Amino acid sequence: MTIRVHREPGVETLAWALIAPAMTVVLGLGLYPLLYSLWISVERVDLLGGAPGFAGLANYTLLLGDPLVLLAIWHTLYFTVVSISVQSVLGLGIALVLNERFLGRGILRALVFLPWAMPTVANAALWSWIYHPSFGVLSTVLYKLGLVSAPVQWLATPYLAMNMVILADTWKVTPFYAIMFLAALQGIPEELYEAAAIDGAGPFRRCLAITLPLLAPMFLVVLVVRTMEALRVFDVIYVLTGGGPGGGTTVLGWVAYLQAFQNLDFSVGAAAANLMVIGSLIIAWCYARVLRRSAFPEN
Amino acid sequence: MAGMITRRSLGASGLAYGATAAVARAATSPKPAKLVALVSDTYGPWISKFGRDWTETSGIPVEVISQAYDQTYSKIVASLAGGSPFDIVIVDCVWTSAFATAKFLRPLTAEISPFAVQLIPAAINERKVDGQIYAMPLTSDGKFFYYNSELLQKGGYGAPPETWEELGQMSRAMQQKGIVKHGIVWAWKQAEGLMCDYTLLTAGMKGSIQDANGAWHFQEGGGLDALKFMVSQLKEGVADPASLSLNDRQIVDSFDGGSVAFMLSWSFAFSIANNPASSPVAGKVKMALVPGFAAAGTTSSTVTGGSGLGVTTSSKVPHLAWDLIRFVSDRRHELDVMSFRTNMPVWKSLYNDPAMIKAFPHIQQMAKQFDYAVWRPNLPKYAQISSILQREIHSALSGESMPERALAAALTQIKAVT
Amino acid sequence: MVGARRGRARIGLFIGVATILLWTLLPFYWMLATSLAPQRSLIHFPINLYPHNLDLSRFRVIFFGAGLDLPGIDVAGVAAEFRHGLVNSLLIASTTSVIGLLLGGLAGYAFARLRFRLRRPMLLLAICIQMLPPIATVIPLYFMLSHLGLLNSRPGLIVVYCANSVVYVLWLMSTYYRSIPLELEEAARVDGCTRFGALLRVVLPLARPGLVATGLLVFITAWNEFTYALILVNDPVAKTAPVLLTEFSTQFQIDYGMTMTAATLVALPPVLLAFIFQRYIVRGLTAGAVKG
Repeated sequence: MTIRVHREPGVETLAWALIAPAMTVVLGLGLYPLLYSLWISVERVDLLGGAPGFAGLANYTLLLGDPLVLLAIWHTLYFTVVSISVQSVLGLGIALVLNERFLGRGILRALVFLPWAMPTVANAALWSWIYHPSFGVLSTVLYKLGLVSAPVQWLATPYLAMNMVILADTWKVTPFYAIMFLAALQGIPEELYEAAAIDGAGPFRRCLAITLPLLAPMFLVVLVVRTMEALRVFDVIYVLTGGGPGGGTTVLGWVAYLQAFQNLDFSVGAAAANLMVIGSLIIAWCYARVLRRSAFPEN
Repeated sequence: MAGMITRRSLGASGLAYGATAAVARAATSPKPAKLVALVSDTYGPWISKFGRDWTETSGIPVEVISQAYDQTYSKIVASLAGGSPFDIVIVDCVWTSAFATAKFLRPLTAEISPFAVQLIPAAINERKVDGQIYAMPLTSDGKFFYYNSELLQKGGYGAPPETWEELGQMSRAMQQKGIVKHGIVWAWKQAEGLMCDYTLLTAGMKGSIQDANGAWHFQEGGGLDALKFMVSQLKEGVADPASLSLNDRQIVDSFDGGSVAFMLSWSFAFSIANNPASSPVAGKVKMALVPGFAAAGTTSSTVTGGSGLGVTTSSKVPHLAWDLIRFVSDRRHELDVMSFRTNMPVWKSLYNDPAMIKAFPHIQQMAKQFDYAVWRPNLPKYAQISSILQREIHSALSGESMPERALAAALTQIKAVT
Repeated sequence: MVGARRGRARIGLFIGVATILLWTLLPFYWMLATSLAPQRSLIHFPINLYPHNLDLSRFRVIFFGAGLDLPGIDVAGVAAEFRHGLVNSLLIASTTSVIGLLLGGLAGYAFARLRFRLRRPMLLLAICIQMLPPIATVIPLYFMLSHLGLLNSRPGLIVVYCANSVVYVLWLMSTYYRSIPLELEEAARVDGCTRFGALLRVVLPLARPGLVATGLLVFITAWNEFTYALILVNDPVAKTAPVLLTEFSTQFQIDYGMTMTAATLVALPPVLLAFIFQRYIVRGLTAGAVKG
């Protein structure tokens, strides 16, 4: 549906009146940090020495030429891809179950939502306790099931630690997917399924032909939002692993923190943060192109 | 809304602006409304208390801001870089050089030199950068060796081990008898505590991280032997495998659980492990000299820690800030301080003070340990160097990399940034 | 044949429901169980899967300041600050929610329905601003707030949170607005309403579920925020609950019991709100996106 093309007098004024308060706040508080971040990323602002001055893209090439930063980018991508894949599957599974009719469905729907409302710090603290290398309950459960004979060192080796971090984040975040998918599922008319059943399609075929395609728009929305958040991951790493073990959970957000706060090199820190923004923009653009749908509202 | 800052100079110029504005204001301001100190919650309560006493004589209120120890560093950096209103900040010994170089702190050489000889050498040396002193030492600390005397007795041992080799034998024997699950628990999570233990063990192996000329030595000799020792501790099962993900506070829990006989930790662990309210092993925990290495012929070694207070460059009333610091750190307050937390005084005379000894009998034992103390390199880029070493050492410990390779990789990375 | 398939389907559903329940609730259970377990029982392997004796002292300390002795930490003091922090978080999160809805709700309509110059660039800019991680923006924000005199205060934090939430509201509401049939608006205008009048009288009432849902999302996000609250606020008067949660880990001890107790309390309000209003949230979030 599109509004007629000719502009009414006063539309522009109304529009600006409506957006002015919001934009003032957003630009007022956001423009300076954004420009600051861009500006110092092309300067040399290293509080621990190094002459200040214009650096051009030197900070960026420094980052991209450092194998450890490339490793961090790899970790970030791994975290993002694995998180989103696992969470999408889990979320869809939960949504499919919640879409069925059964006693207590409303209550279950409410309960499923709860982990998402946990503060990230509280969630990370909880999971670091669950993963405790000596007293963690996860080890105890496996021990009682006879699967292990001693507490498991969940966060002691790089690969395992990264996956446990993903698990901790997944528990908190999956409800978002579940609820979004559920609502999309509830928008699919029953008649479509009935017609397909009459035509002889089994449950799998119905799913493939009807459910998944109609879920695609919602999936895009979820994908975009979650990708941005996953690329920026920081809080859970800060509390659970501090970038370790052996640098195994060092992601780009952590690199930005280390450069700015640990090394007191604000330029490189800003450059790392800007890389995250650039990465997000590229991915958003790709999503928009691949799924032939603009990320921006069209009239 | 005037939220938009219209100054053109951003970045470094922005920071400089903040600093000069502060100085300009300082030149014209009268008596300040209050002094503000940013410390961690370890120090908050008693600095508040002494601050109130100081206010009675000076008439200026003191505001003490504190937050969790783990969050303090980030907060200090963000605040001081953003133009903070703080007059005083807590300075952990390994932050001194970085903060001084970043011009967060004012030199206090003129104020402290007159009585510097009355402070223990370790405390003063760690606060010197380029010959200037940047923080007033408040507490001194070191890593001490604790053991569960009851478990040792069960194992038939009357005395704690004097060498690491002996400790290994005792551990294995006790493990075989089922008295303990593991001999020792270490704090080897990838964090600063790992660096502390590595430094301590390197010294025990007669090695060093860096020599007086700034050349790096950790990758060879004592440094390499120390890492190999650490790897063997885990491989041979002497050390609790949980060590790889525990930090120096969490290991006290493991030790208190009673399944481990030995532990290396800071001074606070002594009172926590012996606290009957929360520790099942209360009353059984004793302290001894950190073992040496028979192979290297050393008696003992330890690494220093502790914090001090510094005056910020953005403070408008540095002389008043110093006055408060001097008051708080005065030796007559040490008894009160020690009752808040067990740690080491920085004043030499207190180690022989009868009142101190009566209240804290372990103080002389700890003083003896200090004879064997080394400190971590006092460099501006220490945080980054430590971070590199921690990462590589941890890789070696978890088996992801061989000790020689790990340390060589660390050396390459360190050389690239220094 | 059909009966058997249905029977298998029911069993499958039952397994699915049971798994979901366990997956969702077990970690919550463990958080609560730890906060009620005696300290000594927490340092044992294998650990008790349910507290054999209930220890209410931690909750008592937080609510009444009654003695709990932990060396090196002023428990009663931190507990009092924590109570205060819960109130602060409540005030800050609600105010942010209301202001965010007001500003973002209006702006969202403009972006959804109106055409004006610089619409695309504005939106793009807003989104870019939003994408910077808090770690990168905290220092310039510190600098800015310090010069505005808003540092270390609840209003300062609210302003920062509003700046973040406005874009979020804008984005969500604009998709929601577009799901409201245009005919309704046009009908109102035909009846003589101005565009703004149509907005007030027709669109906003219809958008109420979306507004409620978005407001709750903003509340939860503001309640849970940590980085800005840590760095931009010092004063116990203005400190928020998530920051105070971390203060139960001191330089001496990471007290899991106390941390889990605090975590339970910090998680409670957003979780309760989510529970009560989840129906609105589901409807609100998705109405726009599905038809989008």
